[in-house]
Amino acid sequence: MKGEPFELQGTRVLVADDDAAMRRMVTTALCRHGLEVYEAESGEELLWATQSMVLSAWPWDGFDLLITDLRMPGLSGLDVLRKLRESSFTGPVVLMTAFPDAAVASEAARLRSWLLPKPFSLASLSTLVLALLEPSLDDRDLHHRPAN
Amino acid sequence: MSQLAAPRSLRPVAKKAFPLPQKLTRRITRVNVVPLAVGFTLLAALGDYLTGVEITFTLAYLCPISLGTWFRGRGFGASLAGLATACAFATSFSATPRQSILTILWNDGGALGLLLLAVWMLDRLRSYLNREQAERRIAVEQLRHADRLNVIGKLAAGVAHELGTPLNVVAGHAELLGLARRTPESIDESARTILRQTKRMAAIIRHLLDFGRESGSEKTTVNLDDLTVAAARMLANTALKTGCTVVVAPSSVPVLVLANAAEIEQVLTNLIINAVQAMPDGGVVRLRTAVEHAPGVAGSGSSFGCVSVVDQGSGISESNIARVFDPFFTTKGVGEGTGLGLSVSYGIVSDHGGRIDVESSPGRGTSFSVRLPLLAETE
Repeated sequence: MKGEPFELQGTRVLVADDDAAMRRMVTTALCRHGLEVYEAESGEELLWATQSMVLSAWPWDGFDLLITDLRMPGLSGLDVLRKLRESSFTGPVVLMTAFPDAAVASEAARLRSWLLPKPFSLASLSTLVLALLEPSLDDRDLHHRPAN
Repeated sequence: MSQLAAPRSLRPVAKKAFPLPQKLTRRITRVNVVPLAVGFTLLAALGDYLTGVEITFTLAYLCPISLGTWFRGRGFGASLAGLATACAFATSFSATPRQSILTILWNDGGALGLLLLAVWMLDRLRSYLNREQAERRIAVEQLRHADRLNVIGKLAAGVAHELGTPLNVVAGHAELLGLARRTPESIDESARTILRQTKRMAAIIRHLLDFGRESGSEKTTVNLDDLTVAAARMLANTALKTGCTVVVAPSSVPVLVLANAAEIEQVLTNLIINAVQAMPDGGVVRLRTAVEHAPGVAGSGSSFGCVSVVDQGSGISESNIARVFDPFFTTKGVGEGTGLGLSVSYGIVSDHGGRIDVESSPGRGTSFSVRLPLLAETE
């Protein structure tokens, strides 16, 4: 993955999955692109992390991209997403799910997130993440583009 | 044609004909309806022939014709009506003194029309009822089908999720292995992760097979006390690691049931493990066996051997308690539980003709009771 089309240094991604192995794999794959990757074990932790980042006086303004599993104990991916959108988080969110049925798909689209059906290849994950992080792209353009 | 002022000699025939629908319809079956109808028709024809009076026509003919129509259809009913009218015609034609031919034709033609009208109406009613019944059957069948699909769909969703994640991890690490610039350590770690995830998938598949396993396993006479003590002893050490003590309170009499010892032990093990996991800070798991008699019903069939597993854990919330026996329902983290333990236990206990109940007060603890039908009360 040489010659990235744009600057990825300092781009922050948060990965939430209750499955440690899955989390590690996604993290490893994304780190290879030079992204700064953070991990959360549950929906609650993800919410806590995003909100405290926004509130804190750190020299950063939160995460550029969130990747979360759909089915987790406690808050599910969709619950988290709903709360995020309520708290006016506008960044891109990717939902990983093994069973993307119509209800989930429509709800995900309504909340302006991208469904990534499992099992996915790391190449398609990278493509989607890089496309979402590309600063020149308008949010609306992406919605007309297939996820992978 | 209805000559209401019937002669005295006819009364018995009329009385016989009237109560027929109420009294005999229960005994009339598909098999005997035809001889019955023919017999009645012949009887009525004979009566007509002997007396020359038509009251039998309306009373006695209508019955077999109605029955014939109801059970054998319109054609059969119409044939009976034709036969009956022909008999009536022959009777009045050969009677002395003979009425005018026009009167006979008028009477019998009217009678035939009336009978055919009855046949037609009954046939319509019958086909209407048939259609209703068929529609209801189809609706019920569709509901059952939808229910089955729902269960299969739930199971499929569960399987897709449970297997999807480890599959994804395996595929991802395989992809990572293929990339350049990998250190030996990271390659080693990827390989180990793949192996671990494969084992996890194998475990899920094994549980699934348990879930859908064939029933009718070999059953022997077992003492529930022994099984409970054995299960408790097996798990005592594991429980101690999290600070839990397993206490057994056996019944005063032997609790003998017909069961597959290994399966029931699996159920008890599942319940004890759940109880221990519900108390991460330690506590006491109480196992109690007892003989129970269902209240109000006498007889040996209503006695149960009961094992209860009581913990002092966090309890199950109101919304979750209805789902605890659902396949893949779990509140445990990934890798700790597949959500199949209780549903497998439920299947096993149902197979044994018993039932498994759960009571829980959130914050105070949960109690699972397994009830199995007691072997004949000889002891």
